[in-house]
Amino acid sequence: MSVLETSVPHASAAARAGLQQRIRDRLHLAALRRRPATPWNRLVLAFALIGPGLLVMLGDNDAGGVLTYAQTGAAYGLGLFLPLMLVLGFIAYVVQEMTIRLGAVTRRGHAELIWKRYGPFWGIFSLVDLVLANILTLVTEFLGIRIGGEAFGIPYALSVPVTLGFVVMTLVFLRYWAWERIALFIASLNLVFVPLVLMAHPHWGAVARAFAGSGWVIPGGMLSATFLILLSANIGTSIAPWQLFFQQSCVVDKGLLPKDIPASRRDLMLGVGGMVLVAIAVIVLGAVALSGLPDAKDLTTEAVLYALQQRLGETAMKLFALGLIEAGLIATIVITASTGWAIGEALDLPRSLNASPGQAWRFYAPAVMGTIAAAGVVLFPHLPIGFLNLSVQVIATVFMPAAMLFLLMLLNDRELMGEHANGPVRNGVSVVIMLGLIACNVLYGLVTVFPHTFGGTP
Amino acid sequence: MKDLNEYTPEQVQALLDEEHWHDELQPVDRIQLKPWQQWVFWGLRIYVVVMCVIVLWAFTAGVHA
Repeated sequence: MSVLETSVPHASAAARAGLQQRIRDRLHLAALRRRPATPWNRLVLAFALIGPGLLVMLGDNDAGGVLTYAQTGAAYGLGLFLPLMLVLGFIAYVVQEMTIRLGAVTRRGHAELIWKRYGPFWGIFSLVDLVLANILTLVTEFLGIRIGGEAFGIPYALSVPVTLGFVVMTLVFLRYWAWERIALFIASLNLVFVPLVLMAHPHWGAVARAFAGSGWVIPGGMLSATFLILLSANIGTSIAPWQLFFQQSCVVDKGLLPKDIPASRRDLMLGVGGMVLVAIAVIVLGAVALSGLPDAKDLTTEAVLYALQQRLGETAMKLFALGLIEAGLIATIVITASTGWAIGEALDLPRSLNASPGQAWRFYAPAVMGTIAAAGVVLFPHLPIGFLNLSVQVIATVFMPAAMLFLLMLLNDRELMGEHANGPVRNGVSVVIMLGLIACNVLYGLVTVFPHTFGGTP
Repeated sequence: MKDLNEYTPEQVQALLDEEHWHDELQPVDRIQLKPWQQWVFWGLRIYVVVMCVIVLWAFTAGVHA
């Protein structure tokens, strides 16, 4: 301990919080790296290095995302949205990879960099966007948990508080390494949707043909309100502001450095692969088991569960409900952490999951309060929020361009990033993504307000 | 995983030196946004407000789910 105390004499209390645990984690990684390069040792090292990328991308397949994919499959079947998931996976990789570099090179979180580089005025804007979107998203997570729990006969008055308690306990009382390992285990259960789609016996030839242009015709056209809202919602399930803040803070709290960037990219690639796989599985499931239902885009979670029970049986319905609970739980875990990190960074508080609650209660408190507020909303009986999901996903895409612009400016700041700054190709791709997001949202807005402007059907 | 006190002071010091955990982070000085950047950000703020109003209206009016 004395080595640490004497070696970091000038670091602020906020920066020093949790440093001992982080050094322990780094010593563990260094020891794994020194082992002989056998396949087993390499696997153990790779497993130790995964975390932020997998968590952010599988956390992204949240309860709201799962419902969105199911609605998409029900509305458009095996068609354009399947290959679109590959495109969204690529977009998510491009965006999230930048947060890895930014965190590893600067050793600072996203909110901290925005506040310090551009001042509190713009910092407040980005933080308010984030916290607002996080709380709204958390409401949809608890809603998924509530409905998933009810499928097993668990009353929401029990499932929601128990989930809340679990999320708060893991956040406050576990240190980063243990928190990350538990979160990874829960995230891995996201793959429950893969056996579920196998149970639906889809026509795999039709699935394959969808990637080659079959079924891409959109009923009502690409300017129909249904298509645009589902497109925006699917984008919102793939990239959202919390993901930028989360992954960068996660990289910093794990203590990852520039030499870990290649491993972190592999971690992210694995996460993107998992995200795309699960998204495609749920869309195919929706196409097979939910097609033909009226008002597919307005399907509630309850309606999806009922249809699965009717068409695929009790086991399939319960598997979906389990997946919904898992998706809501992992998203709640990571989004709660992202709120805490962002507020802690902005206000220069001790901000590490490695810090004890006594040392960093001001870091934990806002995150816990935000999650309690979201859970509290869902505890109200007969609350008309069953249709909240798509709106929340769209709001995530609305906040995204401003968040991405800060990210791009920071990534082009050579004083901060040095040789790790963005090149012209990455900048070009990122700007195209931003403009695409804005164009998609503006079209959605126009078609919503003026439903007959473009001749599309609502 | 081993506890920190199971490592020798030399091992800890070697890691601190190698990974520069004992160095202070480079300060991040504030810079002013250029006028065009301010315009873009204000434009994005207006875009966010307008889009949020549309989404809220669509949600409350039952235009979409």
